[in-house]
Amino acid sequence: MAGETMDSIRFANPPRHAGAEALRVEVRAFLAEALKDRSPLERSESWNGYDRSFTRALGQRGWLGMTWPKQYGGQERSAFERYVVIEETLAAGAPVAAHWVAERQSGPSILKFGTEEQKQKYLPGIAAGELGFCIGMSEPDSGSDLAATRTRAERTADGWRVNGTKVWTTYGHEADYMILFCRSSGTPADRHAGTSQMLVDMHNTPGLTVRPIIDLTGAHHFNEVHFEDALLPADALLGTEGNGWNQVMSELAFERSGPERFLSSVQLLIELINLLSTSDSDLARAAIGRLTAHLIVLRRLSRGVAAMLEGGQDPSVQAAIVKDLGATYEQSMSEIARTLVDVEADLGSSSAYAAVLANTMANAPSWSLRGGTREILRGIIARGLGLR
Amino acid sequence: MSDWEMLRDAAGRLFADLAEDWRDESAAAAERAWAAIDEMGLPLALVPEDAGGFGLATEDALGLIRLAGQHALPVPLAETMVANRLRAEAGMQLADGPTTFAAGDFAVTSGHSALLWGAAMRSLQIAGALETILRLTILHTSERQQFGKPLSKFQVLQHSIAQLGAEVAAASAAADMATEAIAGSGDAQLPIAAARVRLGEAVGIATAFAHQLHGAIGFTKEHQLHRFTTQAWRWRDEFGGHVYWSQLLGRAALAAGGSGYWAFVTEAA
Repeated sequence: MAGETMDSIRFANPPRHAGAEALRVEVRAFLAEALKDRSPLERSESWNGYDRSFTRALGQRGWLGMTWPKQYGGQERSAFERYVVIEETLAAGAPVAAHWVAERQSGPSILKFGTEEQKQKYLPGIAAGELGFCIGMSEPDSGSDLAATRTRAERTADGWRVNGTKVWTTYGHEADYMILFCRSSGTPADRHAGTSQMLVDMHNTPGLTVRPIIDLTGAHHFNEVHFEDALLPADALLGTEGNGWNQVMSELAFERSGPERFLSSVQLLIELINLLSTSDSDLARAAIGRLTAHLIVLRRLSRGVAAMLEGGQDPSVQAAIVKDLGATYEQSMSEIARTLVDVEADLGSSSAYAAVLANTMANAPSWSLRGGTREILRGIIARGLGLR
Repeated sequence: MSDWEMLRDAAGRLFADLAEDWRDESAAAAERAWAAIDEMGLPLALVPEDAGGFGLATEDALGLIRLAGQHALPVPLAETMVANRLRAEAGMQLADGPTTFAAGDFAVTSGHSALLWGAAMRSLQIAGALETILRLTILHTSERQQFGKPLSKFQVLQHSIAQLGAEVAAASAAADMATEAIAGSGDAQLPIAAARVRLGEAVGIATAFAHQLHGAIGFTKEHQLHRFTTQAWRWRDEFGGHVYWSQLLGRAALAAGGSGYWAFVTEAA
């Protein structure tokens, strides 16, 4: 029956949520004021825009860690309300990077796997917008093949000694903590077994150094984080020793499901509409209609994932579908834009469209790499369809 | 099990039985199929109870159209179901056999137009056909062996099937959106426009992958893949094609302007 095949890739229908729609009005009013001086080019930074004061302002309104228990600084609100805050901040081009990783994946991982002490130590700070996290997964010789991790943590008398190197650590130079994925026993040949996650203090860990990696646009988001006999306390271990692989897969499911996977180029679409709004071109109308149809359907798929999370289902295959379709969509934006308007992409231009086009085009290659490459995602979808 | 679930399962079994004989394209076979469908009362599934129907929720009845699409029925059940709904809403007599309708039919005073009903109907049929296309492709690539192993074990083909699956998932969600819109009382035009544009594109991508993955056998009358792909190609251009629906949606989006665009997107569907 077709039903069995479809079940693995079926999305839940997103419900109408009155509370979420009321919140949307509130969030839009806040963003209109908070971002009134933010230029289109700055907005097109999408979730790479970094501003701790903006993050604190969201925290003060109770808009970070919204779904978490109140005892850890959360608001115990629904996944749909959190979804509204996430999509409204992204659509407005707000600078969300200072809380992005912590709120989306580090906090949920600590909530799921952490000890009571760890929950109390980290979660209220994340929810207040005071604590930023970075991701310690990729290594120079271990990218998509994450299980080949070589960074090693060895037990000492009073904690752990870590040696190894992590790369592509976005905002590692600003973050307060990292969740480090590493090997705690065995060798890389053991693959998933013998891996663990550690909470690393980025400011007060002897033997830890952070070095910038400049991307092709000239921007400094990435870092290389080097551990040389770095010492971590015993309570740095997150979750269970040896269970690192399962924990990191769970963390990645949080990372792949949101609207950030199709909104990276929405500022270019907005500027394109500004240019075309007085056009009487049928071609332009059809192209904007097509881009809008895709956006509406992607948004429905992504809200369907939120509904599945809220219902306690595992949406890892659906999240991979959203990310794969979403990255293809957001990467297509600059290519489609240049079939509609002849404007030279120029980062330094006083034309908002020309500057946003240049920034979007230059950043687009990263969108099908970060958070799991296109090829890894298609492998996950194939497994969901029973092929592997 | 609810009455609806029992009806859906019975209809599913009937459609599967009828599909067994898909090679018989005679008028007599179509007549037999219609008689069995009529006996189950399905042509009245979308008709309100007070107009002679049996009180099925509109969303559920629309599920039968998707199911019919999954089996590529040789009779116009979907068209007759919707035509009877439109006849009932116009206070007209219901059809006494298989029928169809066109976009300009019925002067609608309340409820959705025949164009929107037709577009939603085609959306569901396409979603059903694409779901079967995915199933047939997984079946074929799992059974067919080349170079000593099933096609489905080659990574390059797994990635093609994954892309096919992602398109079918998007098409399926688009059809769900069209269902909610046509079953609801609000303005259904924008969500149906978005669904139709997305579904039309999914048909192009999904059928191309499915035919490539089936190889030459999928290009023959002997294999049933063509029943679903050729129908999907027809369905996507009926009741408004890509140009009509994309321009309708694009015109509304451009009217919202850059500053109003995001609000437009969140309110459209």
